Amino acid sequence: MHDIRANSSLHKWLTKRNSPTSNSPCGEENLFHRAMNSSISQNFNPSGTLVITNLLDLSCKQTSGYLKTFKKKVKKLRNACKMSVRHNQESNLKRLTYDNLNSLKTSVLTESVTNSLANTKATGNLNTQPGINLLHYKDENMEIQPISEIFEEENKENKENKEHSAFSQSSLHEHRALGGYKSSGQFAQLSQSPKNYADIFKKVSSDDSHLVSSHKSSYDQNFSIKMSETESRRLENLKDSSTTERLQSTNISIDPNSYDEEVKMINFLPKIKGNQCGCKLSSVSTLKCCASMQKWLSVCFLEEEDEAFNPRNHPEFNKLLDFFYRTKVDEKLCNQDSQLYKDLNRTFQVLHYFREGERGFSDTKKLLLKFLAHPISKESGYVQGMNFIASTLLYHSQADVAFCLFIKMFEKHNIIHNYEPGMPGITDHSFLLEKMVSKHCRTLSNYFREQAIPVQMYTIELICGLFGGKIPIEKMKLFYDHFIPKGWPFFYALVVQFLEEIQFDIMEEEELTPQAANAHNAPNLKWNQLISKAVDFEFSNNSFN
Amino acid sequence: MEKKKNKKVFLKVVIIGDSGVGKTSLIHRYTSTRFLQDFKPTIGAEFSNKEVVINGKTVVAQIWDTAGQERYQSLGISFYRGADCCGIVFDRSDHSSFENLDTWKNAFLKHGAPKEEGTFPFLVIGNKSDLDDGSLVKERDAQQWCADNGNLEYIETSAKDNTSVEEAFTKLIEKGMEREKVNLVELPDRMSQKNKTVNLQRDVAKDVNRKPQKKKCC
Repeated sequence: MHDIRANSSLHKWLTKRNSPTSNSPCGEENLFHRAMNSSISQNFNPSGTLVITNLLDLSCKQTSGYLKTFKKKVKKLRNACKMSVRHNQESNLKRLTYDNLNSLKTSVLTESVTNSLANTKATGNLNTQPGINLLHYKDENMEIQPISEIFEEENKENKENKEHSAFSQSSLHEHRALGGYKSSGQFAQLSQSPKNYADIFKKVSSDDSHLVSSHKSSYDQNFSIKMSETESRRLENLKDSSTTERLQSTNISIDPNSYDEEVKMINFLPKIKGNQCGCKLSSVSTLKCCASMQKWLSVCFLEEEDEAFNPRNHPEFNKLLDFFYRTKVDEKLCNQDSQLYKDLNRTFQVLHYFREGERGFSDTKKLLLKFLAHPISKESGYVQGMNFIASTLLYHSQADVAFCLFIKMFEKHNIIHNYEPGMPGITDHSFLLEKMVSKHCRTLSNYFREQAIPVQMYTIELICGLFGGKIPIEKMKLFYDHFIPKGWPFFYALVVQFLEEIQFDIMEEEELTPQAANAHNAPNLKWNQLISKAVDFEFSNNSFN
Repeated sequence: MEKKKNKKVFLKVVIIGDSGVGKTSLIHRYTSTRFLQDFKPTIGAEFSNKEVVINGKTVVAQIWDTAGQERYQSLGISFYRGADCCGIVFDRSDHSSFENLDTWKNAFLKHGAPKEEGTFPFLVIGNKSDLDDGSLVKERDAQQWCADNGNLEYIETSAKDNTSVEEAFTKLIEKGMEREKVNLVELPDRMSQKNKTVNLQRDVAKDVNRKPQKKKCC
């Protein structure tokens, strides 16, 4: 327990340390000194950024040494947590303990960084030859892997425990706390989400572009730690991806023949927390999402695109966020036999991220369960298709932010109407779509009529899933970029473009396969072009006549 | 060439059953002889064509794959209409999907509204037989249910191991063809047409299907 107290003071120190108003380092430094029980603090560089930059200078052996210490400490603390939870069921204590676990992570990182600094200073190679150390790091990168596993394991357990205890309160606490760390910059980043080294490296890489450009390949190597040599060679061939998640996403459109091989490869990639999408990070640092997500949020909540929009200042967003954290979910809705559970196991399973046990899976589950607790879903309940929309949004952000957008988008475009009993929305949209198809693709419309194919046949899947599972997930961003501001007219235009594009496949030799009609097997489809055509699509006065 | 084409018989086969029992996998196994690895829930309906020769006749089976979730049944009218035969699938490892057979049969008869309610050709398919851990729905129970519900035929399959999949669909198509003969007798005025079976069947399907569509258009 001594550890815990010491570390919370360290935490305080770190926060103060990095705030611009703090200018009395001596006292705090002593505190730090005591907290860490270490003599190296004299060498500690007060600038947080510089410290992180120098994280790059860590040689592998040093790092792995500290990681071992870290692992031990985490284990110790985890045991302490378990014990205390067993003896005292009060959630407050648990929350406290976990907060301290977070600060411990920070402190250990800081310790290793500081040690490294001391070392580099002593040998006089501070920032002069970082490449050498990095190369060294690369050579022995196999040793690094365990840490991300520890982090991830920790993360999982952390989450589970949270959910079992006073879930809503502690999460809310965490979520509020994030705002407080805002000023502490990168240390805040460390303390909120120290679950993954890769994440930290990524953050660093975005800040220190000069270093990144010269050692990009080394980074890539580090990320693909677990890969065998051949695998990494293959990755290199795929070229120019600073983050492995982007690689992961480029592999979605899979040739059926090489399916198993590709899946194996995806499994091989390290699981990285953060934005799977590979989009730019949001400019609002406290928002756990990418820039695209932030844009959508701003369109939904402000009705206009605003790059600097911070949804946390928006009352409606905060209300939804509050709902997300406060509401208890009915876990029964996602038991083994439930429709939701069945569908979660069939949503974007090509991506490792959305498999059971992974974050994408649990986030989708969480989002949909919270959605089912929200009054908006009172009539509809869970309906197939929602899973694709939720997962697509979660590809770009975390569950809380995605939830707010999900609800707001459903309200804005009345998407919920499609799922209510009797599916009135489907009937309405199908009616309009049929008119449009007969106007703009006359041949195809006649063919459908001849074959007695009801209009719902080709519209339901598109309407309910909003092209989810049709457009490869990494391109869904383009769809939402236009769908969120423009709504259903854009959707109709895209359906017309889509049918126009595949109409010859459909009509060819009277062979109508589900692939042709539904095109989930048409990786050659140029969605970028189709979407830009749909954007330019002009509705004539008689489009619906 | 044209003559050949005219000899084809067109059949509409509808596959129904609870969500996740393996309807799509069965159809995929039958039409493309592969087991789908990338599972994906069917939203609404899909269909695929398969040409087979049964009893010397070329049959083009239009196999309809439907969504298992109940909500989508409200749109079932347009998917069930004009069906020649219907396969009800359940998951042998999931007892609730077996208990729902009643619901599915009744929903089909209600929305599809076939002429011969009592004798409409159904085939009950118990899928996922490969998951044998001793707790599967027993053949005896399934046969009992079939006997109680108008002497339906029952078959056990596994889309994963490709056990009896071909057999099941062949049975379904044969049943559909038998029904077609009955229809021929029922509609004597159409007999005068040149290409008896073929066009007749297609017309029947069209007529039934077109009506609701036309209503929607105007």
